[in-house]
Amino acid sequence: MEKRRVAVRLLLAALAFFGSAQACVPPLEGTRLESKTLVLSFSASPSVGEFFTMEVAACAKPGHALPDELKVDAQMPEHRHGMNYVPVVKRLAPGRWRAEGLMFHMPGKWQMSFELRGKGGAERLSHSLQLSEGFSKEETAKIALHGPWPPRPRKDPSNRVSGKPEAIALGEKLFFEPSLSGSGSVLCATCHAPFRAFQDGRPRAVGVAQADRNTPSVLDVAFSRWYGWDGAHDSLWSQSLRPLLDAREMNASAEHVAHALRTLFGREYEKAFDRKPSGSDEALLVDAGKALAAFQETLVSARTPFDDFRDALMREDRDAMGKYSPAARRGLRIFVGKGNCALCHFGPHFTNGEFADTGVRFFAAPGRVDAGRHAGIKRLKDSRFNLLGRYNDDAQRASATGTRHVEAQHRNFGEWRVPSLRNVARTAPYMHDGSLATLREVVMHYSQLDEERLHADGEQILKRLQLSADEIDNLVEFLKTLSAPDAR
Amino acid sequence: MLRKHRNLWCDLAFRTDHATSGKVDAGWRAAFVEFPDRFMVGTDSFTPERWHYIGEHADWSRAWLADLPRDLAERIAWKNGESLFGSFSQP
Repeated sequence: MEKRRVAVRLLLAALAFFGSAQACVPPLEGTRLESKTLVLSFSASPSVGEFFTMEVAACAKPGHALPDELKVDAQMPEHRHGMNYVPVVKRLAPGRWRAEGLMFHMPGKWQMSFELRGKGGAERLSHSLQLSEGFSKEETAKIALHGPWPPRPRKDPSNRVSGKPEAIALGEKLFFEPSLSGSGSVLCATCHAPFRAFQDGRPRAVGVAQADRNTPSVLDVAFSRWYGWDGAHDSLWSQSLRPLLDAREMNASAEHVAHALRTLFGREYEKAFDRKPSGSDEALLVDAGKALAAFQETLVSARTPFDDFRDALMREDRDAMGKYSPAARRGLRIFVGKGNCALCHFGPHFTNGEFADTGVRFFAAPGRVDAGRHAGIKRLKDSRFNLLGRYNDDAQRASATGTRHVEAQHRNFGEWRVPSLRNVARTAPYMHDGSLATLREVVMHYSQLDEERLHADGEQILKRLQLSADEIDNLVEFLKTLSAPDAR
Repeated sequence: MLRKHRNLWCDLAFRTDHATSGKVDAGWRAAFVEFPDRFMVGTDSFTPERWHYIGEHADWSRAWLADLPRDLAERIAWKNGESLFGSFSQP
C-alpha cells in the first residue's frame, strides 16, 4: 500500500514537471536537461576546490535510441578556462553513469557540458551554475570582523615621545644594545629576534638565565591593552622596563640603564626628549622604556593571505578569492563556526586582549605555581610604573581607567593573555610556557580539552571541540594563512 | 530557596561577587544577616595547581569577613562548617 502511494506520487510529480511533452523520466532525481531526443538528469554537490562525483542518468524519447557514451566537462566562460582535472566517467548501467574526479577550483560561473553519443548520433546539453565561495551571510559577517589590515597607527597618550621619529631611532638602538643588560651580553633582540617574528623559538625565554614563560612576539604590540602573559603592565613602555630589571632576563638596574643612556646615547636622548639626560636614574629608566616603546610601536606585521581573502570576500572579487586554498577556507569556517575560536581570538588582531583559563597546566616548576593573571593584577596595582603613577604622560589619566578598576578575582588564578594569532605559524612553541610545540598540538589541545581543569566561576566558554582529523588539518591550514610569507 | 529549604547550606566557593575590595555587597550582607547559620567559606581544588591558591583565598576571605560583625563573621568563617560537619559525623 505504501509503495503504491509513493509510486502514484512520483507519477503525479513527473506529470506536473514534464507536462504532456515529456516522454521519459530518467532514473535519477536531480537537475534535468532536455533535448529533442532525450532527457538527462544529474546530481552533484560541488564546492570550491574539492573533488566531487556526479551522478548522471538519461532516457530516450520514443523513437530514439538510448545513448551509450557520456562525456562531462566544465568551463568558466568569463575566465576562458576549464577544470584543472579531467574527470573519469563510468557507465553503471544502460542510461546511467557516474563521473568522478571533477573539481571546480574557483568560485564563479561554471558552464557544464554533457556530450552523449549513441547510434542516433551525438547530443550536447549544457547547464550553468554559480558556485559561491560557500560562506553564509552570517559567516561572512564574522569573517569581516577580522579586518581590515593593517590598522591605522595610533599614538600612546601615556608616552610623550610615542610616534616621534627621534625617539623611534633611539628606541631601535636601545633594542639592539647589549650594554643595557647587567651582564652586557643580553639585548632585547636576544629574545625578540627580528628574523623569528620578534620572538625566540624557545619554549621559555633565556636571558641571563631561563625564565618561566614563553617569549611573545612584539609585532603589533602597539595595539594591546594589557602587556605580558599575566597583564602585569598597562603600557608598552612600562612592559619594556620589566625585562630590563628582571634578574633572569637582562638583570639591569635603573642606575645601570641611566648610566648607559648618559654615556652612550646622550646626543640621541637629547633629540628624542628635548632635554639632556640629567634626570634621576629612575626617570631615565622610564625614558628608555618610552623610547623602546616608540620603536616597538612601528613593528606592524605585514598583510597575510587571510587578509587578501577577507578583503576579496568583502568586495566579492571571485578571482582573488580563488587564490585562497580550499583547506584554509574550510578551516576558517571552523574558526568562526563550530570551533567558535573567534569568540576570544577576535577582530583584526585575533585577540580580545583579555585573559582566559584554557586548561593549560601552570606549574612553573614542581611545587611552584605561576599564578598568571591573578598575580599579574596584583603586580600591576603595586607597580609605581603603572598608568596611575607619576610617569604617565597623559595628564587627564583617561588611559588609566582600566588600571583603576581592574581587580583580582578567583577565576584569574591560572588565566593567561589571549595571544594574537597573527604570525602564529612563525611563533612556535605555544602557550604561556611553550608547552605545545606545534600548531597541530594546540588545535589538538582544544579538540581534546580537559573540561575538568577549567574553573567554575563565570560563564563556561570552552568546550571540547572533538574535531575530526580532516577538521584539525583544515584549522591548521587556516592558521598558517595568518602569517605573511615574508613576514619580518 | 534558603527560606523554603531549611536543610540547605551554601559554601561560598561558587561566587566572588559577594565582596569587592574587602567590602560586602549590600544584598549579600542582608542574606548573611537573615541566614547567619547557613553560609560557609569554601574553596575548590579541582586541579593540583589550585591547592596553591588556598592561602590566597583565605586572605581574600579574611578581608571581607572583617567587614561583618565579628559573631557573624566567625559563624561564616568556621563555626557553621564545624556545626554542619560535626552534626553529620554524629552517630
